[in-house]
Amino acid sequence: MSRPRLLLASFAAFITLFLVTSAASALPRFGEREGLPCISCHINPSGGGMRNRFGRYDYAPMKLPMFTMRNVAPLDVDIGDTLAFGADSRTAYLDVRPPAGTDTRTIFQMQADFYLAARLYKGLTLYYNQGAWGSFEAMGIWQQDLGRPEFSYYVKVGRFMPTYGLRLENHNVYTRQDIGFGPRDRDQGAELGVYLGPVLLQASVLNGNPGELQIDDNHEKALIGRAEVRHRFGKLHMSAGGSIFSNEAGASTSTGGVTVDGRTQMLKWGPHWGAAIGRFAYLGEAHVVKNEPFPGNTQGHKAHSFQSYQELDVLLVKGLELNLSYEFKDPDLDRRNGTLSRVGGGLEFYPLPYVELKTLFRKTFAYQSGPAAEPLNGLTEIIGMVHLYF
Amino acid sequence: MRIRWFTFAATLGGFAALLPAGGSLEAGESPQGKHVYARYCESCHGASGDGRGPNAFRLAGPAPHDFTSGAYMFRSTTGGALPRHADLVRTVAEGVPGTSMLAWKKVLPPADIDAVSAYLESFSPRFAATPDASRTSVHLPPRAVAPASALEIEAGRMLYVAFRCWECHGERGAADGPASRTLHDHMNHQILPADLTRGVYHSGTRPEDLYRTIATGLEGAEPGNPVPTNPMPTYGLAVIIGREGLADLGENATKLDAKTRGQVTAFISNLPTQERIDSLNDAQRAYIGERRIWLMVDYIRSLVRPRGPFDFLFDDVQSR
Repeated sequence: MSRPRLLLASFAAFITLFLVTSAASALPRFGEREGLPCISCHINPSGGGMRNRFGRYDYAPMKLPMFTMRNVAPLDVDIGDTLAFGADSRTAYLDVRPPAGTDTRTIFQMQADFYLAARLYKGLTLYYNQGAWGSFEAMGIWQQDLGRPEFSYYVKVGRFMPTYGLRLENHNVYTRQDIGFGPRDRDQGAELGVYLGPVLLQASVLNGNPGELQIDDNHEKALIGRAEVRHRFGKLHMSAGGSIFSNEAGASTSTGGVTVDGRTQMLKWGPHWGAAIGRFAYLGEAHVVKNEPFPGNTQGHKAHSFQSYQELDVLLVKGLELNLSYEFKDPDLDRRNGTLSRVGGGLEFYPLPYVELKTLFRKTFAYQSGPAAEPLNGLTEIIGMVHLYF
Repeated sequence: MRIRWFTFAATLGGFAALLPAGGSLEAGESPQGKHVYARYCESCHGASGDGRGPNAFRLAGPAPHDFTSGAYMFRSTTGGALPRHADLVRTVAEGVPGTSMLAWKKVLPPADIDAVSAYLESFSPRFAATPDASRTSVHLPPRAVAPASALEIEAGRMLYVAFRCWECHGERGAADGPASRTLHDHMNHQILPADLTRGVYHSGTRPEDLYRTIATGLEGAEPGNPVPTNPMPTYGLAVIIGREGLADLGENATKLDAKTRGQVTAFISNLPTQERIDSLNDAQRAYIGERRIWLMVDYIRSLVRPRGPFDFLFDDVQSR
């Protein structure tokens, strides 16, 4: 197989992998538009996955859809006062047209997640998310006020997606999957979040070994910090924050008196921001990722990359939104080639409660030549999706 | 794969086993109302109805209502009195425009709205002591003539100044009157008067809603607290007053421009005297009161600022 064909095949495999994975959706633009943090609508304080009662019974049926369903028995997925379930199903038609090689046209079940949440008692929730493609989240969430309702904290323990940057619903944007926060990158550990009025501070200790459920043989743990502040200036809602992720990956092993150092120091950091007024919502984030092999790690590769994402959403009418996005990545800041830009546009339509129809068109451009950029230059992606959720 | 689904099923079973017993109903509470409240209202108004739900402090605009106080702004009853059941139903169904309280009639069937409205009464013992049948609505007459003529709107403007609405809401309704920054609620929180130029009124956007607001005010009375929950007074019968009672335009009158002051003084001098009003029968006096309130409603509705060409860009279309 020639090198270009190999790269194309690799790319096709990559696309398929991203599609055939569980994705817990979150829409930060909704939070931006309302001036609300993720916990307002989701059980998981970091957003995504199962909605809480406000998200399920207030926001989803009242604020999102073009048409509400009056006099139709309202959806009720609560079993008593303490147990609730939910689900997300995303079925997509994907048309990928690489600049050379074979097009991909297929129907994919992108997501099929089933959620359960049990309020064990006031303040303590057990949350479980089973994805159809094998990934899962399971966590206990303890929440408590600190005297006043606007001051509170939560502790989350279990297996979950690391809380970093904007938790966009599209996991294959450069600022998610490319920097290690793809749909399968759930990890085990604990997280503390503190709400101080408009300020949210989050800190996590995780194995730093995301993906498959396994024992972490590296004693060093990943440390993640995230801070965010929201403020309303009349009709203008604004937010700003930043995240940092530090981890020592790999391990140093000794075999027959020979020590092989496979450790790499990983550092990811970057800001995120947003603003919304009236029909408009704007979100952005930018992240630098630095992987530095330890001095004894002769096999490791040094990497220093940059990724950014920006999104503008315009609510055309209630229930119909225009989404525009621009992504940029430089996979190696130390080399003067290989940068990629991706522009996207599409419509998001919420005709009825708990139903979303989405279209997305994306095109990738390589502004500088390089092995990573050339096969993707001119890549066109057309996606149509039906999303049912509750 | 089989093991995975077995694990999943076991987890589901584990959840069920962990469930504590559900909350019990207090005497007189409606199971349907409690059910609806828990799903649709609790996030903002709180499980105990005190307006301190988990999302209460995060929402834009006024804080969610505290049902435990028994003090209500949106009533057809007189200021400080408890609302009728129908008032609660109307507020739940129509929502509170300009706030985070949505119009639940878009989603909930009437039976659910009725049940949850009844459930709201269980949060305050005042309701049990005052059954709905003993709560009296102020007479809300239908609009006799519509639309209003320019003459009627001008008469409404004179009454709006004469009854000192302008002191808080401003002469042109822009919430910039001389007393607009001096208003407080029963908790001593500052209250800003409604900006009447926006055309969004918390108590409802129909002319009848404006009439009701002027007639009954927004004063809610919390037991043991002499300060009302909202400073908007009850005009009701107070508008049936002779020209002598309106002659003094108040200490802020000097802040009116001379032309308006002269017009209003002339208008008042042409109103009937108190002696003349006292000589009228009840129906005639009621007609004067209703007519004056409707004229003020006409003027207030005329204050709505025309929409600019780009205003639609900044509409909150999701709350409609």
